[in-house]
Amino acid sequence: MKKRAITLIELFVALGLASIILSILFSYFVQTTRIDIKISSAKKEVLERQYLQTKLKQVFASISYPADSKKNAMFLSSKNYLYFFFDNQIDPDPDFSGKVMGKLAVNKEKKLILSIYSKNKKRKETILNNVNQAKYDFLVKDSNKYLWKASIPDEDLPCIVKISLNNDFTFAFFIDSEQTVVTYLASK
Amino acid sequence: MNILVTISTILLILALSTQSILSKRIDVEKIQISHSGNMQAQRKAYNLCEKNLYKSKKGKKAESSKKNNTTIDSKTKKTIHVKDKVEIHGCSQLNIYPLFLEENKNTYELLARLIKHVYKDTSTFKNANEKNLEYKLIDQIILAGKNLIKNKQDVELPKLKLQNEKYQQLYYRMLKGTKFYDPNKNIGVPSLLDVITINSSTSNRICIQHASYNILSSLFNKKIAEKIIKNRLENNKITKEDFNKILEQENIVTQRDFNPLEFISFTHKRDSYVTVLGIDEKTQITIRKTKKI
Repeated sequence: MKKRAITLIELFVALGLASIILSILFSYFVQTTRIDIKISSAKKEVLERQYLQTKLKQVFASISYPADSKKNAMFLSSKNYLYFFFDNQIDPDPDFSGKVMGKLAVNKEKKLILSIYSKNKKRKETILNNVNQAKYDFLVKDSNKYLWKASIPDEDLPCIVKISLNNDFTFAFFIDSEQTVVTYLASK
Repeated sequence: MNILVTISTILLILALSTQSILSKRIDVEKIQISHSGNMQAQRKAYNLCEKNLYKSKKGKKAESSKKNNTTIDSKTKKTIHVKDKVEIHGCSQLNIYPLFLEENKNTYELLARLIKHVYKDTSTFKNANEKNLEYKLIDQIILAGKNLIKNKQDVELPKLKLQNEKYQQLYYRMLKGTKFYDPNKNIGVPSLLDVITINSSTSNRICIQHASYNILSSLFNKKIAEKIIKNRLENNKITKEDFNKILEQENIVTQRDFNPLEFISFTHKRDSYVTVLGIDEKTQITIRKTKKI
């Protein structure tokens, strides 16, 4: 029996069908890749923010007065840098262990940097990228009322520190201060 | 033959891309779990601190109810409570400050016993393979403490800078302890910060009412330590009579250069600070928190 050859029309139909299937598949892959890129960048952002929250929560939970107690445990400088003394606990370098001074600031490269100072040493750590500005607010007890203030009282620590970044998102951290939000009364 | 090569190439590409996607996902998952564990541990530590603060403000009425609860707990969870380690009272830690001021043989010996008791089975201690390692380490600690006092700096345990790099690494590992520590299951070792302290304003006496299992074992032995803690749990506190009775039963003999009874104090001074450990059992993340009460 003589074998029949493929006609030109059949070849065109096959090519047409293949191109339709391939274009559908290609557009699907492009869409998936775009979504994947978006998700991974969002995930990166979420992870960075989670790191900021974890790191600063640890730092602000261990705010302590410096050895020279005449100094404030937390203060804002004129350039809106937040300085504080905290217990860095155990570090491989003993100079950075225990009570140290920390600084939170946004640098020229738009990075939120946590600097730790000890004697003549300094250590920097990037906490968050793409930060244009950081605004600090402090929850302070003022005559039996709790108020958000832009400055810190001289002698005491605030109850909560609120850090607003890029006017976009806000983090709040509790501080062990004399002014506690919850007051426990002794039973009679 | 050509088809076989093409198919294997496609399979290889697919395998590589799947592997990279999977490893990325695993990394993200690990970070997420570690973050949630950290938050959980911090929350637990915070809650424990607040609980202690609330307890410290309660009156006598609350004290009596606590007594009842402890007795019930001790009956049902005797073994769990014997080596409990979530709360660390300052009065139950060995104060090594006297060692920086003058020669104090008793404190020196107890510290050596304590270090040996807690850390002798750790890999770092075993790998060092040195005789009398604990004594050499203490000598370095004393030297570092004296240096800080001389330079009028804060004397804190983590700030001690040992001259010998090898001992410094060993000391750092002891300060860190193990990631997860469960004395009831004999898993890991505690941080050195849980067992010793540096306090210039108090003596080196240890409150028997809150003394930890490790301290009591180093002072006496494991059997006496367990008996003291059991008695303390059943009666809410241990009396001098009960304590002497336990010592008589166990026939404890005081040595010439080390008298454990010199460290014991029966009156508990109210703590101004409490240290708690927030532990997330799932991720085994431990967070230490000290709060003024």
